[in-house]
Amino acid sequence: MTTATVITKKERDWHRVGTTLLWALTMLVIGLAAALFGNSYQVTLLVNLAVTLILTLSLNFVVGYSGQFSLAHAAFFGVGAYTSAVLSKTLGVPPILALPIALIVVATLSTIVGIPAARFHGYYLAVATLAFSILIEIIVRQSPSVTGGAYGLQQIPYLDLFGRIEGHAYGIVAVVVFVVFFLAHNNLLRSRLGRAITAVRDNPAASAAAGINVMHTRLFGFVISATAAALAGWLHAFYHRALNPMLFSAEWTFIWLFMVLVGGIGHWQGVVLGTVLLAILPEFLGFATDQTILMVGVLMIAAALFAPRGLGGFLDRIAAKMRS
Amino acid sequence: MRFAKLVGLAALSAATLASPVAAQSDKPVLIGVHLDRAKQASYYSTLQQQAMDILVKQVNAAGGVDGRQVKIIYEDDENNPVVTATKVDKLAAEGVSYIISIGSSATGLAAQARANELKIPHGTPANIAENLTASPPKKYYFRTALRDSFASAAAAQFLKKKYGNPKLAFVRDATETGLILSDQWIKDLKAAGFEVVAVEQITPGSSDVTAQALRVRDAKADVVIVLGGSIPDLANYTKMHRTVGNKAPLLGNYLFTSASFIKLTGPAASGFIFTDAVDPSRPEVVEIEKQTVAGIGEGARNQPVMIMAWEYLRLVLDAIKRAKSTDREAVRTAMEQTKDFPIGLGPAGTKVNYSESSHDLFTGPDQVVFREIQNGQYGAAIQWR
Amino acid sequence: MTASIIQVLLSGAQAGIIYGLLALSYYVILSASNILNFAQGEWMMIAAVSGAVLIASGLPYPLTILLSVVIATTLAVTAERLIVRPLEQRGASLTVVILALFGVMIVVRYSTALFFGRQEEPLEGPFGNEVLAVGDSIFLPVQSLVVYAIGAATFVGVNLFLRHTWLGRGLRVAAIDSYGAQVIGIDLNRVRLVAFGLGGLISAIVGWLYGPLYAAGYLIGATPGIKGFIALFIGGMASPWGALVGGLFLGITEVTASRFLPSIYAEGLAFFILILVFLFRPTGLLRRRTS
Repeated sequence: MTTATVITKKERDWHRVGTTLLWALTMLVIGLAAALFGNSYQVTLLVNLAVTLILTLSLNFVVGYSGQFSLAHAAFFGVGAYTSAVLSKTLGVPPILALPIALIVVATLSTIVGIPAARFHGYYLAVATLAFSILIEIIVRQSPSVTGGAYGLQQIPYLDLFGRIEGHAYGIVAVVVFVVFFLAHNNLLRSRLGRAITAVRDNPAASAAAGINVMHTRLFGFVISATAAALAGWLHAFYHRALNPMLFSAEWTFIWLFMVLVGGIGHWQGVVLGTVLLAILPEFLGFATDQTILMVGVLMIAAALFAPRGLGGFLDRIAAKMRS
Repeated sequence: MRFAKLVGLAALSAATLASPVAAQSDKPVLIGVHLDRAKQASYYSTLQQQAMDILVKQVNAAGGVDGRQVKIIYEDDENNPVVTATKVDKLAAEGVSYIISIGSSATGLAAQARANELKIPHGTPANIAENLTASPPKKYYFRTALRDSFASAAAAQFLKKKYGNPKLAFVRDATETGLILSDQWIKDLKAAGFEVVAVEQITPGSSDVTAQALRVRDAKADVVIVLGGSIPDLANYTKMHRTVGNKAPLLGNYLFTSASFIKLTGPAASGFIFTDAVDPSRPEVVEIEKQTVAGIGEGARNQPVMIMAWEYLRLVLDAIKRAKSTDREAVRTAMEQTKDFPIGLGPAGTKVNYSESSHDLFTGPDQVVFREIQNGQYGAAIQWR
Repeated sequence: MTASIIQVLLSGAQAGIIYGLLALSYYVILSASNILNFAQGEWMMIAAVSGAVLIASGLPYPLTILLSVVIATTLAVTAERLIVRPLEQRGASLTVVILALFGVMIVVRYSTALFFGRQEEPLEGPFGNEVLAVGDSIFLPVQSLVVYAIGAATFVGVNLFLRHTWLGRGLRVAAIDSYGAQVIGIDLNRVRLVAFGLGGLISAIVGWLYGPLYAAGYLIGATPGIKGFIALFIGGMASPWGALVGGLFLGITEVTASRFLPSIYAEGLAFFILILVFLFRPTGLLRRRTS
């Protein structure tokens, strides 16, 4: 869990700002092009990709940068999506307002979970968060009056911003939301808080000695990651406009974790590339789609054996070679 | 990090520009199908897919539809509604004229939501969930599967006729299918005036269901209705039910026709009655089963889902023929205008009659077939009306 | 009332011992090599499924049991050799190892579907599938007696192995201090191999305890697999007996809830209990003996 190192030099810092802006601009341009000119299938892929990227980057944040092996990600994603849907469908809240409410709900929930969780490390944290995730799925599936139960929720209202947002328009919204998230994510990484988070991961004792509140920092990392998952849930809910308890399935968390692994744990550039690759590539590998899940298992093993540092590690090596 | 940016740019460009959309070919008639290849619904999905493949081979050998070969494009929905919606998008982009759902009801619902928006005619041979054709009516959706509320209504008639006013107990497993089905039946049977004295649930994977069996026995139900999607759990219950000395008869739905149910339950399954859409004594059914057995062997015996899938595809292809085109609107209209189309589902003489207000084959509980397991076999339809 | 309590204890102990044995299989590997192997449930499934296949092929029953257990254990050891060992040698992080084993779980489970089919088959127990009845309120499947006996024997056997054999003690020392173990000449590679083998063996045995009570099919490893490590963390890692304590506690509580409450609450109970344990007694129910 400690594959990335903290960089604190000022000149490297400016370089990073430049890199971030370059990535953001590139993704914005390509994303908008896809949203405007793609057919409905490509737009769906784009929106799914935006949602998945937010999820993998935030999972990478809590596992890689904050060093906490949390398996509750799918639960926060699902709660964010369901809260948004129930608010707008059952309570008539405008979808745009459902966003801040859903974020607050999940932030609160993750704080409640995160406070005891911050005491745990390694397996205990993983198993505790996994149990929490499964329990949430069971509760959602068995509460038909609130959540539609096993049927799920259909016909969720459209997002409305001076007009109904669907199709290409939604693609644009998804790209913009993602880029804003991406900028906030990178900004957080470079900030003092971001460095405190990685410092606590690397050496809690030294951080405490330096005056950082270890518990609070870990909790913050946990909560911010969960809140991002809720954002992804909101984005997902108003595009697909149909939800199902399977959204909470713990399997999702493992699949996102796999994408993070392929990208390189704690290495956001790799994670972005890895997610894009894994999300888009299966569409072109016709032969593999017959046994999708089996392929995923094989890829997990292969990635672990042959590329444990992931794409991030690969990029690092190339960058190092180019410098020398 | 500039190199990383270039790689990223290349990847994203490739993704957007290299479209997976196949160039629309004039020749084949394209039908899209989404199914569960590997997960919990894969057993039923695979059977339906095999039946459809055999039919397509025959149709193509006889010249296809109006001289055009039929091609089915299959997409794995991983038994996941989110993935299903994406696959429906993909099938739409590949230019299919019709989409058939042969996965679970949950994925069928997701497919419907998306296909309706994309204005593609679609439907299912086997998904029984009520919401699929309940209000508001879905313009592009056509179903031949037995609507679940009719199965429960027929069960109500059957229970009244055979037992008078029996007290009912429900046993279900915690799968999505189990919860959806049992909630529907409990609601409908309560509305029909029956008293429900117990609702017991089995966590899938349980090695012991004595607790549930004893609770049902102590509640003194006259008839016990068993519903769910996890056959081993329901088989365990059926065995325990008899073991604890409960003489109450058992009633279920067509999902119990999975071959493993009889294998796992053994003699305890005798007398188990279930609702179905297929009467195996009908000559049409016998004929189709001959073809499926010739195609995949003995595993095709007594598989109502194969009959359902076969007949549904036959109906769809007929509609395309009548439409004289593969244009989606034309196919939709032709489907809606289906009149007096003989079909091997339901009791003898059943015909498909769609209209603007009705996109269901089954229009009432009278068409529901009841069958009984006897001597380790799935029996023919029982006459009780 | 007493009859109900006895029934609950009998049923609860059956489920509990199955959970406990799976928890033990996790424990053996976790304590010796610090790896939580998500694929443990799948060895159980392999033993049951290959058992069903071998029975159908006409092999004598005792040989079937032996061969299927050997097959499952061999697979477990193969996974360690082919995947875990290279990863450990490259110094891969724990996250990577765990994800690789999750991949193993997927591959084993879904390729079984391809070879065995998606239908479940019945698995005949060593002494048949009869149910003994005492009065009309106590029902004891003969297989339950097998579960009790084999379960007890396995726990005692594993404990003896860990305490009194050279290999077993190596496992225990590695659990306490892996660096110190290396210093005194214990080969961690071999320890890990033995741990995976033992864990696989225990799991395979469970296949013959659980399979006859449920069925043999490609999905049967899923739920018991999860309940297994839930039971482990409920009981605690203080000693192998923690697995038994956790398993029994979980099994009996689940059956009690199903018997006396509307059974819709039973499904989430295991996870709810685990969360309570983590909140109030994180090291598990069994107290660590200071020896």
